[in-house]
Amino acid sequence: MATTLWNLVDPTAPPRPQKAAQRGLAPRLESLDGKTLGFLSNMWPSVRPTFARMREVAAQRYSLRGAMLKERAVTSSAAPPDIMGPLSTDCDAVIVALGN
Amino acid sequence: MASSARATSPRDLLSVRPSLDAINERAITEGWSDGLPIIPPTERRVDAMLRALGRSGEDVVATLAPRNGQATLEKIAANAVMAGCRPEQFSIVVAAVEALADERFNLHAVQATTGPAGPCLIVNGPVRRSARMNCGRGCLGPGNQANATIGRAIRLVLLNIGGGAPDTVDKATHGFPGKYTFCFGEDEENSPWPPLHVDRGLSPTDSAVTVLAANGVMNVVTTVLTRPWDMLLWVANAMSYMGSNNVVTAAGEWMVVLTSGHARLLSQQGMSKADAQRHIYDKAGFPTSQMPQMMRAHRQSRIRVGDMTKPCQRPEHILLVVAGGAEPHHIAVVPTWGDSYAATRRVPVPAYAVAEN
Repeated sequence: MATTLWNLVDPTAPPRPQKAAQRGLAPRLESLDGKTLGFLSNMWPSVRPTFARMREVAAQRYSLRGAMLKERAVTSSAAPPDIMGPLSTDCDAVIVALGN
Repeated sequence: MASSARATSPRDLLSVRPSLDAINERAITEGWSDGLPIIPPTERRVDAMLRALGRSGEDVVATLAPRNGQATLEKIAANAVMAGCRPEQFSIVVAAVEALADERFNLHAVQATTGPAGPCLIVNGPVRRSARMNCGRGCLGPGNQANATIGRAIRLVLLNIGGGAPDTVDKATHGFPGKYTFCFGEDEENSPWPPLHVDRGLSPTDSAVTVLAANGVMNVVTTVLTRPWDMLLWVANAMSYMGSNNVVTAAGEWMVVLTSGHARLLSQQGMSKADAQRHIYDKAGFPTSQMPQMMRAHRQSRIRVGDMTKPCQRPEHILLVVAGGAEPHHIAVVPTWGDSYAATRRVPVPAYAVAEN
């Protein structure tokens, strides 16, 4: 005899579609020549020398127009507008420090 | 059978063998249980929750990080059923979910941190009684159906909607037992002071729930003290350890759960709640010179006063709540995760209560 199955309401929820995913990724840069490179630090001690070295290497390989370093004191939440603003308006690419 | 609490969209259903053992095995295998047995979220049980609230199951209450899952009332109800909640308790769960999504609570980080952070729910107002919550003896411990299952429902919501799966997303080094459930009501009737939700701007007749990113509970035994203000001195002492998340991040709040006995003794000395907060704050902290070298010390200036380091930025960041047995014997001190602040939401009067009136 076939067993009758029970229907349960699925307690799990799928992720909401992200705006960024809907928009797609920004066009990739072919080169950093003539570009402004941003660095967003999470202020762990290892980040500053790492970023300094990355900037050095980038400057050796490309003709950067400029570079901008921003440091965020709180890393457990989104960077505030006073940090995100200049990075998004003045930089062509940004390197973000994660972890420690 | 079509549900009266349901609109037109098809419901997400799981077909299962009609066996409690099989359902629980599946819940564990698929990761939608906290490890304890669950009540099967049948359509009938979920509909009973929704009817008690008088709202559509498709209403979206919040988007919960880090998965950014959409917390519809139906999904929340399924988790509340699994936790063992009763329909008359569902409105508290829903309001708590709204509070968890408050930006200041910083849910994304609370869910994913290596720290032992988990939401503590403090319930105020008339709903404590209609939900049959324990606000008195043993309120932080086992034995009360409402306290146990409302807190557990929130854990299941964070798991199944927020995506806080242990190990893969929830990176807690140890976690703490309060992540299974941590919920209680304030003993408002026996307190000489205004309750927590009034401190946070609501009316005394409102019902409300406050969520706090707790990091465990410390006990301060005050049975041997003879002067009320010395009880606060010991609370201050308990809050003064260097390695708390609150000190390391120089942020967040503490909760101090006094008994009505403590509150009365302090009130008889003429102390208001604000006075008690100030007294604890003034006595708390340690000499900054004792603090060892630490990384990421750039925020420490926010909690330095003279040559002392305080456990929080301001006296108001010490949330005083009255609950537990009446005797002034023990005080529960709750540190928090740091980069997170309490959020409070009004609990609406459930539909059944309106109908009864």
